[in-house]
Amino acid sequence: MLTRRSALGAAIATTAACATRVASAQEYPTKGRPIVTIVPSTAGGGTDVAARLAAPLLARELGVPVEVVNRPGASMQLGLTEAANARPDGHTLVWSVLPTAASIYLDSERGSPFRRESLAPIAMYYGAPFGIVVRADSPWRSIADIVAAAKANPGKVRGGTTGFMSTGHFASIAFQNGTGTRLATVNFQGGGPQLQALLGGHIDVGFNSIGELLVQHKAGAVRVVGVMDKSRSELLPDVQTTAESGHAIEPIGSDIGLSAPVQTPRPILERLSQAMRTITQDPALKARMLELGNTVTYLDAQDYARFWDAVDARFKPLIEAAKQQAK
Amino acid sequence: MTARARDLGLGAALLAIAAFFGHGALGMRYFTSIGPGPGFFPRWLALLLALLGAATLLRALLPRAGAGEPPPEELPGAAGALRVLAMLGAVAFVALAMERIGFAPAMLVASLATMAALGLRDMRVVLPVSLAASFGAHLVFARWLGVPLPAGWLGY
Amino acid sequence: MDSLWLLAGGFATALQPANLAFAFAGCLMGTLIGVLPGIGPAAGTAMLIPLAGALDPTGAIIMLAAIYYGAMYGGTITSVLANTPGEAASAVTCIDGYAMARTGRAGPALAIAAIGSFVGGIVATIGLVLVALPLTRLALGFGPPEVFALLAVGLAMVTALASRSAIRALVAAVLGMLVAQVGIDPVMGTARFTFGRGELYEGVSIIAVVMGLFGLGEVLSNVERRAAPMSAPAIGSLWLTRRDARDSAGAVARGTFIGFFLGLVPGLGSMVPTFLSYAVEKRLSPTPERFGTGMIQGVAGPETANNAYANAALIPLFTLGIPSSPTIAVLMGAFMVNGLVPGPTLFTEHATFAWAVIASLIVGNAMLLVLNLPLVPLWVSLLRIPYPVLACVVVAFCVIGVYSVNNSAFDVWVMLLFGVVGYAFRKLDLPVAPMVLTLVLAPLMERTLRQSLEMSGGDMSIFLERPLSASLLAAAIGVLVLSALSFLRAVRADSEV
Repeated sequence: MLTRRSALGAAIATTAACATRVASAQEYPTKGRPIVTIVPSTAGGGTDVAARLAAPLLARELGVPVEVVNRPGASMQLGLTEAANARPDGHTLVWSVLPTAASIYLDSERGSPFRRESLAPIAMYYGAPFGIVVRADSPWRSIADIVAAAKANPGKVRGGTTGFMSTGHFASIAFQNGTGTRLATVNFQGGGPQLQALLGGHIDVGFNSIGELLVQHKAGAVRVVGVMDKSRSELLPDVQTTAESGHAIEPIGSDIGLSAPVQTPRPILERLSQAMRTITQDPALKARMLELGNTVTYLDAQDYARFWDAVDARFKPLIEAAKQQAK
Repeated sequence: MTARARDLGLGAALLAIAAFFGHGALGMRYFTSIGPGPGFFPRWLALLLALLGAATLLRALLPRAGAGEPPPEELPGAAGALRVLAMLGAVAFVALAMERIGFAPAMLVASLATMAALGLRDMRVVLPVSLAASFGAHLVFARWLGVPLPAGWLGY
Repeated sequence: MDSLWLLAGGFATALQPANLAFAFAGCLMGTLIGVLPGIGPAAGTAMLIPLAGALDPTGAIIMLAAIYYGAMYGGTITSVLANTPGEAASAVTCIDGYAMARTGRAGPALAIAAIGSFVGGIVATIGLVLVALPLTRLALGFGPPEVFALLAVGLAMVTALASRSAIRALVAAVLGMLVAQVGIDPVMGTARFTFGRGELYEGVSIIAVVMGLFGLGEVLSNVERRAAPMSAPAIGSLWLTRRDARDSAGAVARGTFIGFFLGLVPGLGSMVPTFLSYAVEKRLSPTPERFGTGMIQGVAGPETANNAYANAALIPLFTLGIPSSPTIAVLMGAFMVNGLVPGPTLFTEHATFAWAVIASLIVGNAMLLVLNLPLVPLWVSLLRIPYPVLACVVVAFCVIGVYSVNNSAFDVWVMLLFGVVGYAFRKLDLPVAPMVLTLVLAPLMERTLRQSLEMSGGDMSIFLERPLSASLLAAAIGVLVLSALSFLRAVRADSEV
């Protein structure tokens, strides 16, 4: 039981802490000191390009330079861990990619020190839904066609992924779980190699973010037969969604937001969240992102945290299934 | 060092390395439903290395071992070994210190130490070279080319 | 012949003063970046992506492409002068290039590398103009089983890297494969031999290993002996003799061919073309035993293949919009930052831009030659620097290069470890090149094997049912049998003595 004295002490301590936090938020960002945003993957990749489009807008909004630094490695674990261990002063942030970030700690075998609690979510930036794709000369024109073929030849239809335990792999598992089919899963190293194998006819169906498929789809080299989302994509209005197919297929996509080390004071997080809200309303940014197949979707810190928790819950079984399939 | 002694040492080292990888591989899944598992290649490679190690040992034990081969490399003398160790120490120092005190100060210390160890004492050469290899390199690569080298004191 | 007209239009854009300046700046920067060991083309191009966002798209891409092949060439310079390759693919150039430098022939080595790179680059670019589309279609036929078989051919060439003892080359090769086991396996994502270090999840940094084995290892064995190599080697002729030119002509032609075709194969990397070219030259030479002592073919072939590969690897990016290597992926990112999406629509939607970039590849390759031939004496004169100074600078560059790949001091420790390994290899008379080759090839082979089996549901006959992979595997076995025969012949000749 709390005595009155210790309660008072605690209250004073809290007020004092709040005071310093408010002070640091008023000073934030420190004039002339750049904000470093870490991209946990390589330069030139999808996340990197999106981060580099946002950085100048954030800089204008916050009044200090915003740098983009690439820290790739161990499927994003290195960059995320580095951000989690950085000084929580709002000058080191990280572009957090879901579900990749979640799979680091959801897969217990990895024994990673990086946890869900290592980062404080600031705001969601954009989502990149995944698509189901076949070669243009494939006889399959809909999700139903693929399901029929896979049911006729269980384990024979070759389905590519963007890598073992990657988002593309989860997409493939979600498809198989939702449709009750079994594919011969072929894991490539990234979307490029998978697309190449699809064009060469070495796989029959692929799972990739629609941004990476758009050019090929428009050029008539491949056909996107399904978007793994609840609603149709603005970019592919004629393509049915998995929800419309009548199968209970989990929606799958990459969702990218901005996060900070977990100890970062709340006012700083709010300041950043506000800046993200402003820049995500920029029509030019939205248009450029849409060209890349990304849907700019702002969520504030609380909603982004809730979104993140939901991702944890949804992907845990998919991760287990992916590992089971390899055995 | 004779060729025989060298090959006996090499054979023994190979067996030890093979044992390390072979032991580790035993804890990994050997086969999966459709093909080799993670333990497959380490296991066979360790076995292959063990065979090569044994062959090296056996050849070294043959009576005519090393005959007709060019003479082996000499082991370093005391002074030579010291220079090699100094070089290794310098790199280890940089690896240890660069993220704490910054690349340029760490490299400056290491350059001064290496050149001293290699017998270059002419300060008119040593100083500018050390400064160029440390602060100069930082200026060019970190400042101009954007290579993210760790900065320490005074931004270097 | 429409494409030739369009190309002419491309030249009109590429030859505008501003774009010429971009190409020149790119070549110069690329060469300088390449000279820095460890900062290979991928890191070099990535570093300059932020810059690209600030320039006009055509200029930016022209400059980045120039940096890309400039860096490819720049790596040769340190390979020849200090036995320190800029990236794994140049490791093979060290063998004879550095040997040439030690006998005072660094000039001809650098000159033939520049000329070979020029020829390889130009031919590959012309190939891009004339036959790009049909060839990429053909190359798409290379699925996982075919790439696996091609890698098997590459692996069979390890024997060609043996100097005296086949067993010693095999030891180095197997050690390389074991080092390659470190990291997450491609089958089940199991962490193998990572000692719980996140830095090792994606395997040992290849650049750190190469820098250690070659660069630091060489420095260590040099500083041990104060006497001989502490003074600079004599600098002989700077230019190619008539004999050099005659010796290398065939190697350049074959290197161009090898580099161009392997550049089209998705996911192969630059390692196989350079090593294959070296193996072919050694095999065709009347004096294979002299390889490793400074044969100019051993520089001319691989260097040509490297640049032909570099330019040919751009073809899948232009025609399919698919990056065939990490460096090209970076370049693709630069396209996207500038609002250009490479791929089938590039030539229809941004024709002026696409053809300007292709023309600039030719302009840039010519510029690289013009820039680098006069610089050969300057590079060679670096050998006059007293060795303690050179050692110090090489170490500084190695550290910067290795650190910059992943921004990780851990990799500097890896380099240190492999420096000791490289030094020990010299003492133990083990060749280092096979280790680098297998370190790069083994993970690719394991992955493509797994993918092939995933395709067939575990049926090994997939390799024999597909004609291309079957014939490549037959070729790999042929190479092995040939090497075994020549090995036996050597043993018999030995025992008769």
